[in-house]
Amino acid sequence: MEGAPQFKLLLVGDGGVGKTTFVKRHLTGEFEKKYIATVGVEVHPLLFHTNRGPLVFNVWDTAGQEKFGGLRDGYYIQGNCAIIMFDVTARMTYKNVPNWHRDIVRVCETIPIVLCGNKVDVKDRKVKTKQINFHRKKNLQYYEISARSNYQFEKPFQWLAKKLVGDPNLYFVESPALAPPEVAIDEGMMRQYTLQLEEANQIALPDEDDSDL
Amino acid sequence: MNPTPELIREIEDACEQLSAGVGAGRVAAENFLVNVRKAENSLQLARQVLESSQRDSACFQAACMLKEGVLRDWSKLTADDRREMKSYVLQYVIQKKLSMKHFVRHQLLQAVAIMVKRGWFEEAPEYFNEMMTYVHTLVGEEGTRDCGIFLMRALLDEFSSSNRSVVGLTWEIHHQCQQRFHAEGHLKTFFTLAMSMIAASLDFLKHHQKDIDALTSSSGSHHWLIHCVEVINQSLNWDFTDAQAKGGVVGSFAPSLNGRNDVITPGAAWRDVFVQGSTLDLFYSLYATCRGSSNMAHVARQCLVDLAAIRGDVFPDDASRTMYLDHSLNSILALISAHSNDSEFVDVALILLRLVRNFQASTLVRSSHAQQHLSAMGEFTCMLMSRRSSLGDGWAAEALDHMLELWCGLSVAILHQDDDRCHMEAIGGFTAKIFSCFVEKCMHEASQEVQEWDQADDEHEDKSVLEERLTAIGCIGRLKVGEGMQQLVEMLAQRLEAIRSVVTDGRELPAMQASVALEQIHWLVQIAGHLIADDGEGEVPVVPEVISRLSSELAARNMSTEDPLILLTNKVVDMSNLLDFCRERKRKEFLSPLVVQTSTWYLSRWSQTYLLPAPSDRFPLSPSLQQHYGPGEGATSVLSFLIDRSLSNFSSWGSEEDVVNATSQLVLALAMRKPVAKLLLGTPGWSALSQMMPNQLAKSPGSKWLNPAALSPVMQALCCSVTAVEVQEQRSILLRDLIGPIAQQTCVLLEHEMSSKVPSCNASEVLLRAARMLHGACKSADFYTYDSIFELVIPVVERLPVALHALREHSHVTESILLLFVVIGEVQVSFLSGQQMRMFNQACLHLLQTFTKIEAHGRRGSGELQEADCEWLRDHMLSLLQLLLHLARKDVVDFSNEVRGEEMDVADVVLFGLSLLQPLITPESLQYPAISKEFFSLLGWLIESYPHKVSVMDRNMLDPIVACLHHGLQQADSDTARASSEAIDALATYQISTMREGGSYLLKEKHPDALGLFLQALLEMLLFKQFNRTVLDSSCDALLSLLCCEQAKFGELMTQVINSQVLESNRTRVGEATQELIRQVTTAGPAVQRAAKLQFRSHMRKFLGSIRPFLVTI
Repeated sequence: MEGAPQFKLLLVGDGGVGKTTFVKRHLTGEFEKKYIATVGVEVHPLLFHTNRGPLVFNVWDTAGQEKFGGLRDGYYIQGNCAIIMFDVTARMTYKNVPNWHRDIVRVCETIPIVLCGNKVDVKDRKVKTKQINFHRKKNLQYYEISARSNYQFEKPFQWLAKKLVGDPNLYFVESPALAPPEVAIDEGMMRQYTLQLEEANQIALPDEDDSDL
Repeated sequence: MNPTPELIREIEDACEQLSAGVGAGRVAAENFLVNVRKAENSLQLARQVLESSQRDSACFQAACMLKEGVLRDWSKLTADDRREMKSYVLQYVIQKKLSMKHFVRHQLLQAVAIMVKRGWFEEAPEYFNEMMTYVHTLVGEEGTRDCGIFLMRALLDEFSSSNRSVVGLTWEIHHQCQQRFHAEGHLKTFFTLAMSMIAASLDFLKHHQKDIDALTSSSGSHHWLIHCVEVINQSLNWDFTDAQAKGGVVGSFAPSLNGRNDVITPGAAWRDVFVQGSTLDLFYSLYATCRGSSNMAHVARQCLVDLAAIRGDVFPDDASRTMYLDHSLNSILALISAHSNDSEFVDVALILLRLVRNFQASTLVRSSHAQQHLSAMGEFTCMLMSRRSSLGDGWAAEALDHMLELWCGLSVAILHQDDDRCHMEAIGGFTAKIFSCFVEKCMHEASQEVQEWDQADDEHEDKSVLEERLTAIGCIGRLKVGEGMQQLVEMLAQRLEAIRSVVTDGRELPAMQASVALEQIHWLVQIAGHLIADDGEGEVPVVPEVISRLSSELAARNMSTEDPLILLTNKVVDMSNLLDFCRERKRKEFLSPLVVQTSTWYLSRWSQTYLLPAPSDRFPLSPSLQQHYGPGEGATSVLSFLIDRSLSNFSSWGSEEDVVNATSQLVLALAMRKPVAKLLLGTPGWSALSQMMPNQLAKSPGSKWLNPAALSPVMQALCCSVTAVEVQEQRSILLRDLIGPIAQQTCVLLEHEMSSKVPSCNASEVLLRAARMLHGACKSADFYTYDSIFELVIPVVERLPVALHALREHSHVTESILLLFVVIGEVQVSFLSGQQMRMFNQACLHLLQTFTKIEAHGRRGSGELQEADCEWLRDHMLSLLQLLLHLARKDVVDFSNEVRGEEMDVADVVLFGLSLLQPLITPESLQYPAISKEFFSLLGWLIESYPHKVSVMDRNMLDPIVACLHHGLQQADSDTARASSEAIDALATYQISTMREGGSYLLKEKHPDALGLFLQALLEMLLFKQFNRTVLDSSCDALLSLLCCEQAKFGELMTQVINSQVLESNRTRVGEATQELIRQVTTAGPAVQRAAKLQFRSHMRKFLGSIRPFLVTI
């Protein structure tokens, strides 16, 4: 990985849309069945091999749920690119996309951003393709993905890589390398996180059309 | 934390560590910064860092800290502190403007906007005007213009339809701020201010058109311009709708699901801005000037998209409306050129769509420029169709979909105006061309698609997009329906003839050519189906007027043989025959399941509209169509053909699930229409199908064997058709002949085979097929047939639970058996008599007991369920929950004509079922939305229906219910939280009726703490937490009932809340608000009637509005 250009990638979106599962797909190739809310942020370095050489996306997988936000938009500084993810089976997560976008551009004015609609493998999708046009308004790239079935899972990274390197002819030459997630060693904090995670597991994911007070 | 230089350095180091983003150092730094943010003096620390640090990352974190801190500590600050803080931040931003990074500035200005909003209701009226004057001053000076514009953006963000950053305020306050900002004219001021800045710089830009990218870049002289245009965009995307008019959607802050306002209604106050040609000219000019700029073009074009959505009172009369539409159309159509890029196409199409949708079709067609506009739009649409759809990630396809929607809307509007024949002619020329272009495009794409099959990656493509596109083109084709049908007839004929001649001559054809022809036929048939008939959506669709009229005209001229509808339908029939011919000649390359599926779909859609066509009140039906497809020989022969075709599909294409499903749908669609069903019963094909069914349990030589997927719908269709018989006895005989043999055979099998511990594979297969057929039969039941069907099915249903245990390895058989129980519960339970209900209850109990045994078996030894058993139970939990819910409803919805006996008790079955499922209901299983929804609906229903039983339940049964409701109350999912609070309300309301002196009630005897627990959880949610607004009303209702039961507990809890307030002023406010609330409740009285509940909701809103802002934790 040494010497390869590195880019800070912000991965944001509502809680439960599948951000962590999506990143972990790249790391282990396994689909994470259980939902465990992310606390604060987790950083995963992902190595990709392109026809122009290797590059690394340091993916900042942020907490989607407000209560586990940690520094919230405090993580966005020096972000080079972003993925905003929503869940096509939960309307609310798409409704919140403008908020995530606004928070990102407030910190990183003109970075390339991909909008990803996850869980397109689910038959009963609630957000139809025709309803999705926020990306047109803000000039973002949009991909429908499925972390469960691997559908288009490399597309967002490839598009961002093209933009960041400035080469429209760039493409990935092999599957991403496996990399271990970063491990937090502070035991006190781990204990605190464990408590919070237990609490997180008690929380069901938002499903229908709803809004916060 | 003391703001010492060491601490500041520590903060700076932590910021650097965090930015580095790797290793344990990052985690520690993050932890440290989170703690700094939480520090009591975080505002002071933030200012200290801003003053002394040279590091951008530290200043950024300080700005974030400040933004969060002003919200959290607002109530602790004095009025002077607040004012000082605001002016400090503004001064800081202006002074450090040159050296400050944009990300620091944005956070700081956002903090200012938050302070302005937070203080608006507490400060003097001139408070906001001062801010507006300040903004004016900033933008007026060249040196501070950018700061002024950034401040405008921050204020718009904070006051517009967004509530993310101001989490401590109630929705009402957000809403009031938003409304006031608009009503007091601040929004319009910002808009006109931004507009004047754009206007002032436009000439300069025109003279430096080539340098626009450099001028508007972050270091350019006009770097503020893009933000100025963003102010326009933010203003246009304001949610102008009045909350009162929004009714049910109040509380939804996002402007619309798709992130755009499709309709913008700024109101009469904006007339002077929008009803001026000069405003449109300014923005079109701006776009024309910046069209080549990579920075500006997109954002400037979005203004045009939004301007096309303006409607409502802003236009004083029709003349101004027409003028606006004409002006907009002239400007946008002039933009279209061959040099346009894909993203411009999408927006141009969207602008056109919005304009045509927002202004009535008549406004467009009556305009003096109508022909010119329609012609340009038609050419644009055809041009989009000529582009490769895959180009630029579907941009062209999206633009095309917008245009098709536009033409579809126009066509529908014109078709439904009786007096608009001349308009139909005027527009028909364009729509006919578009239809023809679309057909050609599909032919071209079909050949492309075949060549690219290997690369196709449409695994999860949204099918609704294609369906909408085809529906739109069907509507568009209707204006000149004769021409459209003729074109399809000719194209189908060419392709069918080509295949026929190849097969007849025994010639070989390259595989690619055969595939292309078949793919093209598939598309032609799909388009034809959408052109000739509408989707009934549950109703019987009538023959489209234009088709009936055309057919009548031809009949009047003795030209029925040229009726294109008949010719087109005959072509589809020809195609089916041709495939038979190909099969006979063993020409496998032409045997396409896709074509069979599509043609079957066509026949199904066609038969809904044209077979025994329904009369219309609007126009007489064509005699020619009546003769061919109406009562008499026409309908009978068509029906025979359809049934024969279905039988042939079932036997020839039995392994193709899609063909089987399409054929099942055809059969079912025929049987569901009573007039058709009457005829069906007399056809030999239908009798053959009926006779086939008993042979479907076990394969026997010589009999036709149906795919399991077809068994339920075919059986449903057969039983459904029986409803068409008028005489009860005959109906019973027919049903007995249909269901009897299947039920008998299944019973025999269950008696004999299931007694062995390990059933044979064959037995499980037979049971699966039996369960599916009986499922279809039960699904067809209605008021006239339920009795016969139930009597025939119940012997099997009573015996099935025995099979469950033996068949637990065969999960799909278990699921089919459960679905049979569920469908009886869903369709028949409300009709069943007491005697029948007892039998069904008994069967359900038996079923549930079997599940208990399986569960006990799984727990043996360790006391814990084995993973596999858990999974098995969870897989079937949803069906069991649905069954229980249907049973529970029997006590509320009962159509049986008898007085209910004492001994029949649905509640016992339901409660038993619930006790069985309870151990499986864990926070984890409730994460599945479907399970959670069914479970909480069941709980709610149960408590509402049987509060007397629930109140005296043993603790070991009641405790889990209380725990679940408590859990449900705290869920983010609004349905779950609402169902829980409704159930709690029902439980508490019942307790009020059992109240005794001293405040005791029935539930309290066995479960003294339950209602207190709910009361505490509800108060915590309402006072301190973020919660979903849609549950507010039901939560208030529950709170009122709980409060009546647990008055002392309420007092105790509120005292705790009051005492926990640090500030004296807050303590007083909470105390006063609580007193006021209690006073109102006392006035309302303890009888929790609807009026009292409504009153309490309104008091609670006031109560929450006054104290939540400083109680809610961020």
